[in-house]
This record gives sequence, C-alpha cells and structure tokens, in this order.
Amino acid sequence: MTLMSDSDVIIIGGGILGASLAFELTKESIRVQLIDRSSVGREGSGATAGNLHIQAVHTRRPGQVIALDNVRLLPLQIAASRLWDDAEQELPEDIELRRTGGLTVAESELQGEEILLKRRHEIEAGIPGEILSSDEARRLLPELGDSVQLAEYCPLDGYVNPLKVTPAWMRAAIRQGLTLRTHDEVLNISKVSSSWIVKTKNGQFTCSKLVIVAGPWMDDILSMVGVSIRMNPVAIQMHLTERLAPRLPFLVQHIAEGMSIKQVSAGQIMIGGGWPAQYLALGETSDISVESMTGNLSQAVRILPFLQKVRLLRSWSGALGATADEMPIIGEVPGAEGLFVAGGTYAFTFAPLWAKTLLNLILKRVPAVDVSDLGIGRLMNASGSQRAGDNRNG
Amino acid sequence: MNVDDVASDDEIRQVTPLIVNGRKYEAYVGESLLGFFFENNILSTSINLVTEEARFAVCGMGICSECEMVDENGLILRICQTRIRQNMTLTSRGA
Amino acid sequence: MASESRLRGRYSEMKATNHVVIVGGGPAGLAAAETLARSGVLVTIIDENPDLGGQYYRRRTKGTTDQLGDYRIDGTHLINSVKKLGCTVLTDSYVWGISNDKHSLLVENSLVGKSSRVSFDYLIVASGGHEIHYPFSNWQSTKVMTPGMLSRLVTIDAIEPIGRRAILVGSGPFLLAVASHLIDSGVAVDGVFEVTRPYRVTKFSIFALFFPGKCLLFLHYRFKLLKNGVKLAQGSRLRSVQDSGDGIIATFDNKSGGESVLVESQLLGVGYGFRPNSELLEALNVTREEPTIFGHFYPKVDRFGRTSQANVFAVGEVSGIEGFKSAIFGGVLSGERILRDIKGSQGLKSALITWVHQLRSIYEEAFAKFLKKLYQFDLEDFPNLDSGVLLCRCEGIYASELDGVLSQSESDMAYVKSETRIGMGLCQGRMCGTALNILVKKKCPKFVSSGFSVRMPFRPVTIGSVIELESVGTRDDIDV
Repeated sequence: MTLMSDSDVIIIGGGILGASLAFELTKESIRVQLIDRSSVGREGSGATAGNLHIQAVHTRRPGQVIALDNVRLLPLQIAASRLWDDAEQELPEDIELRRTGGLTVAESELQGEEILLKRRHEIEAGIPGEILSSDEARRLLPELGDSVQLAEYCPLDGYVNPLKVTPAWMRAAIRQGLTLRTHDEVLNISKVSSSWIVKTKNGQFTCSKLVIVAGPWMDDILSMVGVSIRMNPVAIQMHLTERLAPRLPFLVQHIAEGMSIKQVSAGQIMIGGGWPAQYLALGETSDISVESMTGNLSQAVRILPFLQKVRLLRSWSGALGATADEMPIIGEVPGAEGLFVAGGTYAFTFAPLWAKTLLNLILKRVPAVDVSDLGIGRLMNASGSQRAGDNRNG
Repeated sequence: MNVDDVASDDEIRQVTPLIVNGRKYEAYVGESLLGFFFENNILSTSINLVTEEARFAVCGMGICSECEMVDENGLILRICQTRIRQNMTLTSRGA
Repeated sequence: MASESRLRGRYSEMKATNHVVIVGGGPAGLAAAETLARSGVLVTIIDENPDLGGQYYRRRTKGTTDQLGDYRIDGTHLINSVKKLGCTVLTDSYVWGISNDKHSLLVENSLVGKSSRVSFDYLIVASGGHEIHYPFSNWQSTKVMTPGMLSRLVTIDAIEPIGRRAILVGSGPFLLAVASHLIDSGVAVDGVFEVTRPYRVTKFSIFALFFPGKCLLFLHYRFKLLKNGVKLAQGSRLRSVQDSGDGIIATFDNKSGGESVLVESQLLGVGYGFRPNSELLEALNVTREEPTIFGHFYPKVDRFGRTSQANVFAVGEVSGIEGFKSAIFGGVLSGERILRDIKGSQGLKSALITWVHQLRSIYEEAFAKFLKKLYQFDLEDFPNLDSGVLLCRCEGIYASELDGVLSQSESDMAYVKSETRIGMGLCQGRMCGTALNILVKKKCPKFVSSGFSVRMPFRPVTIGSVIELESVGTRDDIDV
C-alpha cells in the first residue's frame, strides 16, 4: 500500500541544508516533508571538517583548476556569521559551536601579499581581522613553525561539530512539525498544474514548493524534472588525530595551499583543506589517497611542528557537491516555478544563510542578501532550459 | 629501512635500570615488559584520555591500546609487544 | 635438458619479479613462508611483535628459556627454518595502510617510529584474530584481561604462579585450554564459566564421535579440571566484577533466572571466541562473506585461501577457521598454490602434499563447524546492560548513551557511531564493536549487523611516521 500525502514543501536531501531549511520553514508553521535516501547527515554534511569560514577563503583546493571568486563570497560570509550565533541560541542541543577565530598564514613574500590583498577586500565587506607579523603571530600562537612570515587573524572564524548540528536542526524541525522520511529514495518527479508530485519507494507525495538540496546528487534529481545541469563533485579527505590536551585555540589555514587545522571539542586535531581522495564513489566510500595524506600532513607539520609526534587516528573522505565554477548555487530554478535548489561549495558555512534565503524566496519575500548571480541558470545546458515538468521530450 | 634489533646478543640478559612513572627498577635487557610489570605489581600502564581512570593491559596482543606508554624518545609503545632495552624510561600514556 | 633449462628460465624470471609478502608471523604465516622459501621464492614476513610466532607460537625470551626451557618447541623449529631459508623478517612492524595502487603495504617500525612501503606481487594475509568482548559492570578493572593474555603471562612470560588465582569466563573451547595451561603452571583456577551450554549430552553430541582425537583432548581437559577441583559452569553470564582488596569478586547470573553466583578470585580472563583482524583485507576490498550476527567480516576464499583478488590470500584465524592445525594447513596450501601460479606444476610430491593438506584442512573445518554449533550463542546469552556499565572503553561511553539513539526505528552502525561516539577512540571499535552489534540487534530487529568502516591508519601512527613515506621510496628493493 503506498502512502500519499500533501505538504506545502517537500525537501529532497537530509544534510545540513535540508535540516536548517526544514527548521526555518516549520518555524513558520509551513507543512514540510523531508526525504533522504539514507540517514540524516550521512554524506558530505557528516564527513566535512565543520569549519565556519568568515575571513576570505583560499581560492583553490589542491588540484582545483578554476579559482573561485572569494571576494564575491565575503558579504555572504559576514551574513552567515551572524546567523550562526543565532543558531546556537535557538537550538536546545549542544552543537559544539566555537568562534575562537582563525589564522591564515603565509610562508613567502608573494603569499604575504595575497593576505594583504584579501584583508583589504575584507575591510570593504566589514569583516574584522588583523594582520600579524611573524613575531606577532608567534606570540599569539607559539606553536607556529619558523617558516610563517605573515599571518591574518579573524576573530569570527570557527567551527561546529558536523555530527551534532545536522541532527540538532532536524530534531528541532521534527518538534515543529516536520515529517521526516529517511532510507527512502526518490524515483520520479512530475508536475500537475501547480503541484509537484514526488514518487518514492514508499509512496507518492505532493507539494506546491519543491526544494532540492541533495548535494552531489543534485543533477540526478534535477534530471527527473527535465533540468539538465552538470555538477563537478569531488571527494575530499580529512585526517584526525588522537585526543590531546588543549593547545590549539584557533583554526589555522594557509593562504596558498589547501590546509585547515583545528582542535575539536573532543581534543582531537582535524587536518583537512580539500585534498582529493583517489576518486569519487557516490554513495560509497571513496578510497583515501596516500599522496593526499602525506601532502596534507607534510604541510601541517611545517606550519605546526608539534604535530610531528602526534598520532594520526583516522582518515576519511566525503563528497563535495562542487560545480565547474566552484561557487555556491542558490535560488529558484529558471523555467520551473516553485522549484528551488541550494548547494555547491561552502554549503556548510552558508547553511543558516541559505535556509533563510530559501525561506524568503519560497514565501516570495526579498532575501536579505543578493544571490541573483548564484542561481542555477548559469549551470544549465542550453538544451536544459526546457520547461521543467514538460515530459514530452522525455 | 634497517630494522634495528632491540639489543645485540651480548646485551641480552644484562641488568639495566628501568624507570616506570618515575620509579626506578632493575631489569634484564631482552625480557618481557608485560611480565615484568606483573611480577613487580605495576598494575597501571595508561590513563584513559576521557575518564582519567588508570588502565592496564587487557588483551596482551596489541588490540586494546590500554597498555600504551611513552618511552624516553617520546614514542608511544604497547608494552605487551615490547621487550626491555637498555636505559628505558616509561611513562603512562595520558598521564 | 629442455625441461631443466625451461625450469631455470622460469626460476630466474620468477626471482626477478615475484615477491611474496606475508602479514602475520603466526603458524599460518610461518607455514606459508616455509613452503614458499623452500622453493626459492622471495618472501618477506611482517609481524608487529618483537619476534615471530604470533599468539600460538609466541616465543619465550632468552632468560625464560634458559630458566624453564622452551615452550611449544615446534614453533621454534618452524621459526628457525623460515629464517634459515632466507626469508626477510620484519618484526616490530605494523601494517597500517595500503598504497593507492593496492600493490604496496604501508608499514611502520614501532621501535623507531618510521614508515615505509613494502611492495608485493602476492600477499598472504595471516593476521590472526583477537578476543571478542562483552561488557559488564567494572569491566575496566585492572584485574580483568583476556584468557589469551592470562595464558601468555603464565606460559610465556612465566610470571610466578604460586599464590596466583584466576577464573576463566566467556565462551569457547579456548577457555578449557587456558584453564589447562594455568593448572599445569601452578595457578589456582577458581572455575571456568561458560555462557552457552555446550557440555550437555544431546542428540547433537553424537557428531563428536567423528572427531575421536578432539574428543580425547576434551576428555583430557575435563578430567584435569575435575582432578583439580575446578568447577565448570554453563549458562553463566558475567554481570560484574568488584575489586576486593588484592582480589576480585565476580557475579554471575543465568539467562533463565535463578540466583546470582558470587565467585572470589584474583584475576579474571574473559573472552567470547575470536574475531578476525581483517582491516587489511577490508581495505583491499576483497569480496566478503555475509557479516555474522556480531558484525564480523570474513573474506570469501577458496580451499587454498585465495580471495576474490588473484594475488591476495587469507589464511588462518583471519579467514575464519580457528585452530593452529588449520592455520598450518592453510599456510601450506596458499604457499603451494602460489608456487603453482608462478612456477607451474610442481610435480608429484607437491601434488600429494597439496592433496593431503586439503583433506586435513577439510577435516579441521568440519570440526570447526561442529564447535561453532556446539558453542552457539543466542542473543539472551548477552544481558542488557545496566546504565552504569562502560560500553566504549576508549571514549568512556556508558551503555545508557545507547538508549536515546536506539529509540529510532532505523539504526545502522554509522548512525549509532555518529550519534554516540562509540568506536571513535584509540582501538577504533575493536573492543566494543561486537557488543554494540549485539545490543542494537536486541533492540532493533531490523538492524543490519556491520563492523565499523575500516580506514587508514589501521592503528594509530605518528604524523611524522606518515610523512616519511613522501621521502622514502618503495621497498621493492630486496635485490637477490
């Protein structure tokens, strides 16, 4: 017997974007159903480092070809920053949010100039921060290696425990009326007049607004409504050490190379930065690359030499739903009224911002930030701009 | 990579000082650390990183990680898989 | 002669290209090494201990041997043979990962804390197994250990037995063997407490007659226990251990109700059989059997130990058949099979050896299956845990943490782990993984038993050791 039900909004994807959006929608008493093929926060949202990037991000992961436009992201980052403080207040569970700040380091004069340039952009965007000489940086963090020549400290950087935040948002949404369907796969989507009909393994569900926040599966799901886009997902690695007594109070990043290091609440040191796993196996484990591991860890040891004696406990990979231009995606799908998407890079940092933005777009209010250039239209193939739900051409 | 033997044939069975958590003992080079601990009533090897309980070896075969101790070079050893060598100093991991 | 020169040609070709790496220096690994090295194959055998032997053939140190003589001298002979035949022996060496191309192992020497790559053309995984645990109140007492550790302390490390007392708890024929070792050494055994009921005469017992040698061994153990007044209890579930002065008080109950039993002793050896050290096999992604109810994975292997990957073999405890005899047969069979691969058919003598070993290994496997049935668990042998019982030893997580999580109707291992942190500590779930499977299965019948996912490093290694790999080349080196 198949289930049938009607909601205002159906969300496809149970990661941090789906959970935070469900929370915002149900807060306004909107009837929401969320569907995920596995369990909550299982994919990228569970595998990520959980960093909250507020100072300008580095433009390239190791192996990344196209540089992202980090200046464009700055006003979005400062907006997200404020919302993370709200999130901590609103959620009853401890999500281990830490806003102790972050350092970005440079090891050469050229890299130092990149930091100075980025600082100028941040000042324009209203992001607080300070430039530190190598001595000042070492006074702030005595653990820093000798090769650090210049650094920037931004007090708003931080992190949150990815394993706690997605379930926390989801549980809060459930208390506000969310219907959650995990381990359920979407088979088919169609449109009948102004309603979307989502067919899954377990039933058929209708809604007036449909949101796809399915990470690297975004293109798969969109193809069900006749929208053709290309995602360039990649699997990136994270490395985790044994527990240590507290000694690293900030996030430490590198301006040039993919490197982010922090000590999490449990005392373990997490080392990442976007180094690629061997390949991407969607929905399965993507094998760890030894070269990426040694590369990432060598950098880490150069910047924080105490890591030499610290033991690596585990490594893992997670899928990043990146696009060709390495930028975020957010907005209503052109030619498909009532269909919204969000995803792309830095989705974790932007999660509460995308949640509020989608909420506003769904309710036809003006969003607080301008995201018109981040719509999915830029990724749609020429032939993909047929009207969504129009099944005549298959 | 050359595998250095823990002790040459001449050194085996020589008496050597062995310091465990600051207390000095006398031991034979090449003997079993686990056996030595038992005989000398040293009933704790590591301090649990979360609960701070004193723990001792459980499995005797390198699985449980509760016999971990830090040697004089700062290396973490599993004493159930380590033999006594010259002038060894051991401190509980997690202490 | 044409055949001779063909053989020589093959030999030199083989010498230049075929390197067999054996992980694990116990009976299985040693038997394989001997078989291969005797025919001139390049062999490297890697073991994390200071000497070869594994658990069953663990060597006494020189001092102990001088005082008390050797122990299981056939182990010494086998090890000496392997060394004399020219195998490269890497001791104090732990395999913690594999290269991207899956043709090399990442190995750390724990004495110096440095890693290197060891390449292989053939890999024999003989990494053995470790004891299964189930928590009880005050499980973390320093007087609690595995039966294996108790046995090793007494027989190998030769601790002073007079005045020591111990009890054996858990499940499996291993408890009887260890009790026997302890009695022989002079340790007082205050009882053997088996949680299942294998020592009853039932219709199934008749199958024991197929294995007369094993029956005799069992009777030998049984009489030894009787002669020494050692109680053999069945259906006993260990619930708690209290430290009491220099000793302990263990409390047992029975799944069908009845009074608790209290037993005084000094040391407690508890274990419920063995689970495989299968990390390397899982990382290589060989095809697996369906997971057991405890979430243990065994590789799918043929009679010679070959896995789904033609150049990877799994033998001994890690492949699921217990017992040192099976391990040796498995080692010989894998060695013979690899020899046939690289050198062609080895002649009549080799064929005969192979046949005989296959038959013997079939016999041992049949016995192993009989034992599994005899010592079969049901979920009620494992009691629900009180909230104060420590479940994840490394991370200090108590059984009560599971309650909230288990109320979800669908739980899988990854979910339970991410919600509770169970299995995220230093032992990466080796101590608590089985118990977690049992506890979740009891509460959620739909739960699919599974191990924790395996990731590199299989055991913690220093970051300094890992980055060594960037500068060190491949150890392809063994120039003959």
